[in-house]
Order: sequence, then structure tokens, then C-alpha cells
Amino acid sequence: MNQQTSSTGTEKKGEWKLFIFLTVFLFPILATVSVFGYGFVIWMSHILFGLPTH
Amino acid sequence: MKKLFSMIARSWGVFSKPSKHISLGVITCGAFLAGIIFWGGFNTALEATNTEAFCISCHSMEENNYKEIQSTIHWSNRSGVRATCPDCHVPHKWSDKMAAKARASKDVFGWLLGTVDTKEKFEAKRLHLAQNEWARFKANGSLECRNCHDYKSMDFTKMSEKAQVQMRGAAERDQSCLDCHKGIAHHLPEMDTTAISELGKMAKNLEGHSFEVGKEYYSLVQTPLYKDEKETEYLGVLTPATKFKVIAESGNRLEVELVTWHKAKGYGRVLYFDFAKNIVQATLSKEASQDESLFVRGDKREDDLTGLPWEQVTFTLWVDKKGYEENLQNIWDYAKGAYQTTCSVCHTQPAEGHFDANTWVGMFAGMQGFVNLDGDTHDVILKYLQNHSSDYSKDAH
Ligand code: HEC
Ligand code: HEC
Ligand code: HEC
Ligand code: HEC
Ligand code: HEC
Repeated sequence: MNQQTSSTGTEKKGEWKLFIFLTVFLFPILATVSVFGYGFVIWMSHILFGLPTH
Repeated sequence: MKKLFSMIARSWGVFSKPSKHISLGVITCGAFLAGIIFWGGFNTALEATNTEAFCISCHSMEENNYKEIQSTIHWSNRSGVRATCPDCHVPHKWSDKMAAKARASKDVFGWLLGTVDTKEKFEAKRLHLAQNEWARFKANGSLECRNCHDYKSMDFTKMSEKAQVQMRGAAERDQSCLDCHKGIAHHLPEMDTTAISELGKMAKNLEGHSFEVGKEYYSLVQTPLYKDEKETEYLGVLTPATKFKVIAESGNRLEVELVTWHKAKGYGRVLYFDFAKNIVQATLSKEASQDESLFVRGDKREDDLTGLPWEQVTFTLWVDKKGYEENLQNIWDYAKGAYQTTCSVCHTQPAEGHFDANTWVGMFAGMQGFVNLDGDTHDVILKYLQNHSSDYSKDAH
């Protein structure tokens, strides 16, 4: 590890950057989009197979 | 572009390998915290889009739905329970709620495109939007209403008499509330009553047929009556399904004879089908009803029930050559079909012979708020019922 000091700085920065990007942006967005998509699929199923009954 | 690809490739490298510098503990803690924050935020956002304030940020510009509800029981009542827009419009089951939210993307597009941003545009689309809601309530048996109201918890004995009969029946059938309670929160959409009625179409189809002097015909729609063959000012109107005899023809008018009754007190402007029966054949202007040159008097009798004198009168007037029906049964067939479709929505329609002709008038007037009928169809159904009422039908009790 010691001999790689020149690249560890950027590597470490890259890992942090990706970590933040994933947890703060990508995954929340994916989660939201998939919930919306789920709702959309149900909506379409209502159109195809009729509205929910009780 | 190339730069972007190489960045993604590099990121994928970092993503797919175990991390070298961030400890597992930090990653799981970070992810866990982010998850909590996300879930909180997601629900807050969901809540926020499920408030009345959010809905009316759009729906008040049409100044309709929001304003209208403020004069109803769901805005202010003795119990202090308010029904807000989402209470009635957004399903509670999670999956259906998400579907409703996804469906609301249609609202957002509509908002961006301004599909209903003026009163005129809203009114034009209103019936369509209401039909979407009716379909939803019909399918789920008015589930949203029943989150608050439950047949099982209703004390029918505490209800008004009017409500009791219907509500007991509804509970037995487990009927959808909206079958009878349309327009509970907003004004009902304007239904198109200017469109040409079915009777209007029947009349149009018969137009151009020749007439035989001495023969009897029936009006299909409200028909203006004139003094002679040229006069343009009309003296009154015949209701649909009124019998007249053609006695002469001239140009595009027919001279007709109308045998009717009127009350021999006051002006006698309304002409009736029969002695002491509130079955309207025509209404006349004040002048025409007094113009002795237009009619001859016949029998005179007093109605024991009201003490009013009635008199048979035979009018001779002119009508335009339009489509008239020779066979009264064709009109009754139409009326019967219309009666069965419009009046069986909420209850089984009462048998025609269940009431007498005069009682039907009040019964029918009471139902007027429930149905949207054009004038001709309204008149003809009422007349159909009266003519088949216990006064005239042999098999009635
Ligand atoms: C971004 C603005 C906006 C918001 C916020 C909004 N709506 Fe709408 N809504 C619209 C528009 C525009 C339409 C007409 C859609 C169309 O033209 O099809 C509409 C239509 C409707 C309809 C008619 C039925 C249908 O789906 O066709 C109902 C009911 C409704 N909205 C209820 C709500 C409720 C309840 C809320 C709050 C949870 C809400 N709206 C929030 C803009 C909005
Ligand atoms: C948030 C709960 C809630 C929802 C949802 C709700 N209601 Fe109500 N409703 C009430 C309350 C509260 C009253 C008033 C009770 C009282 O004080 O007499 C009421 C009163 C009524 C009345 C009596 C009207 C009158 O003039 O006495 C009718 C009818 C009614 N609701 C029908 C409906 C229908 C139909 C729906 C569905 C579209 C619905 N309600 C949805 C809470 C609700
Ligand atoms: C068969 C038609 C019908 C159905 C279905 C129906 N109702 Fe009614 N309901 C009526 C009539 C009629 C009245 C009396 C209206 C009036 O007095 O103007 C009434 C009155 C009421 C009242 C007020 C009672 C009172 O004494 O003032 C409430 C509350 C009510 N309905 C709620 C509901 C709910 C909730 C549902 C669905 C679970 C429902 N109704 C389904 C016909 C119906
Ligand atoms: C008590 C239940 C109830 C509440 C509360 C309620 N609505 Fe409605 N809404 C209905 C029903 C039922 C319909 C179907 C049309 C009808 O019968 O009037 C409807 C129809 C609509 C429509 C379709 C167009 C129309 O006017 O028919 C819109 C838009 C709408 N509602 C918006 C709203 C908004 C915005 C609010 C809140 C300010 C709201 N609603 C509150 C029951 C409700
Ligand atoms: C939207 C629902 C609805 C429609 C549509 C409807 N009715 Fe009714 N009808 C009711 C309700 C609710 C009552 C009981 C409350 C009342 O008396 O006002 C009732 C009561 C009646 C009664 C009194 C029954 C009795 O024995 O006292 C008659 C008669 C009647 N309806 C005839 C008709 C006719 C005719 C039509 C078609 C023009 C019609 N109804 C359409 C809801 C409806």
C-alpha cells in the first residue's frame, strides 16, 4: 500500500465522490422512479383490466 | 461524450470492487442514515401532495370545486369533521394510492398545457372529469365515502323519513353511495340539454310525409300553435304526444282541431287531456285563451274534489307541417324505454298503474332534480305515466 501513495489520494477521493453521489442522488432517484413506475403499472392495469373493486 | 463514458467506466470500476479507503462501518452507517432521511422525505412529500392546500394550488383557479364545497355539509357540520379533497379523491390502499399519484401526472400535464385553466374550459371538460370520478366510485363501491360512513353504523331510525326508505334498501344491497348521491360535494356538471332529443329525431324522420284531411295525428315535440296559415306570432304550444285532427291544409301549415278540457275559472290557459286530469295538452297565451273565435264550448262539469268548474273546449288552430306520428303506440314505446332507463338508476321504477294521473305530476316533479331530461323527453315520459296510470289502465288496482 505504501508504494501506491501517489494514486491513493485520487482513488480515495473517487470512492467518496461515488459514495456521496449514489446515496444522495442516484439511489433516491431510482427509488422514487421505481415507486412511480409501480404506480404507473397499476394505473395501466386499471385501464386494461378495469378499476379496482371493493 | 467520450469523457462521460470514461467517467462512467471508471465509476463502475470503483462501484464493483470492495472499497479500499472507506470502511464498511462508514458505508453501512451512511447508507442507513440516507435511507432514513429518504423515507422521511418521501413520506413528507407524499403527505404534502395529499393535502387540500396542495390540491387547491391548482384547483382553485377554476374557482369551482373548492368554492362549491364550502357550502356543503362536508365543509362545515355539527360534528366538526371536515372531508378534504384527498379524503374523497385519493385511495387509501398503498398500491392504489401510488397509482393515483402516477395518474396525477395527467393532472400535471393538463396544468402545464392549461386544459382547464379558465372557467369556460373547465365547464366544457367537467362532465368528462366527473365521469372519470363516477366510474372510479362505481367500481370501488364508493370506498372513499365508506372510510367515514358505514352502513353498519347508521341508525336509520334517526334519519329523515325520506332517507330511511332509500337508505335501508341501499344498505341491504350494499349499494354504492354515488348511485344516489351524485353532486354531494360539487355542483353537477351541465349536461347537454340543447342536443336534439330522440323525439326530435323521430319527428325529423317523419318530415315530408303527406297528411290526410280528417285523420288524427300526434305531436312528437313541443309544437307552436298559430291563429291562421300566415301569422308568425304563435299563440301557444302543444306538448308532445298530443292528438289533433287535420281539418285543412294550406301551404306549409295544417289547420287542426283539438278536443280538450280547461278550467272554466281564471283564464283557462292550460288545456288538459281529460276532465279534472292534470295531463297537459297545450298552454296558450292569455289572449288566445280568451279569444272566443278560436274555440267552441262543450260539456261543463264540476270537480267534486276541488270544487272547480271544468269545461270541454274544442280549439281550431294551425300548426306547421312537420313530422307527426300517426301511431301513438310508437311514442309510448319510446317513452317506456326512456322511463325504464332513466328512472331505474336508483330504485326499481314504480309500476305505471301505481299512482293516478294527478299524483304522478307531484311524484315526477320530485324526481326532476335527480334526472337530466330534455324538455320533450320529460313531457313525454310524464304523459306516458299519466296515460297508463290507475285512472286509465284496466289492470291497475
Ligand atoms: C399541478 C396542478 C394540479 C394539482 C396540484 C392537482 N390537480 Fe387535480 N387536476 C389538474 C388538472 C389540470 C386536471 C384536468 C386533467 C385533464 O385535463 O385531464 C385535474 C383533474 C382532477 C380531477 C378530475 C378527475 C380525473 O382524473 O380526470 C380530480 C378528481 C382532481 N384533479 C383532484 C385533485 C386532488 C384531490 C388533488 C390533490 C391531491 C389535485 N387534483 C391536485 C391539476 C392539478
Ligand atoms: C372525512 C370523512 C368523510 C368522507 C370521506 C365523506 N363524508 Fe359524508 N359526511 C361526513 C360528515 C362528518 C358528515 C356530517 C355528519 C353530521 O354532522 O351530520 C357527512 C354528511 C354526509 C351526508 C349527509 C348530508 C346531509 O345533508 O345531511 C351525506 C349524504 C354524505 N355525507 C355522503 C357522502 C358521500 C357520498 C361521500 C363520498 C363521495 C362522503 N360522504 C364522504 C364525513 C365524510
Ligand atoms: C338508493 C339510493 C341511495 C344510496 C345507494 C345511498 N343513499 Fe344516502 N340517502 C338517499 C336518500 C334519498 C337520502 C335523503 C336525501 C334527502 O333527504 O334529501 C339519503 C340520505 C343520506 C344521509 C342523510 C340522512 C339524513 O337523515 O339526513 C346520509 C348521511 C347518507 N344518505 C349517506 C349515504 C352513504 C354514506 C351512502 C353509501 C355508503 C349512501 N347514502 C347510499 C339515498 C341513497
Ligand atoms: C365528500 C367528498 C368530496 C370532497 C371532499 C371533494 N370532492 Fe371532488 N368530487 C366528489 C365527487 C363525488 C365527484 C364526482 C362528480 C359529482 O358527483 O359531483 C367529484 C368530482 C371532482 C372533480 C371533477 C369535475 C367535477 O366538478 O365534477 C374535481 C376536479 C374535483 N372533484 C376536485 C375536488 C377538489 C379540488 C376538492 C377539494 C377542495 C374536492 N374535489 C373535494 C367528491 C368530493
Ligand atoms: C338519482 C336517483 C333517482 C333517480 C334517477 C330517480 N329517483 Fe325516484 N326516488 C329517488 C329517491 C332518493 C326517492 C325517495 C326520496 C323522495 O321521496 O324524494 C325516490 C322516490 C320516488 C318515488 C316515490 C316512491 C313512493 O312510493 O313514494 C317515485 C314515484 C319515484 N321516485 C319516481 C321516479 C321517476 C318517475 C324517475 C324518473 C324520472 C325517478 N324516480 C328517478 C331517487 C331517484
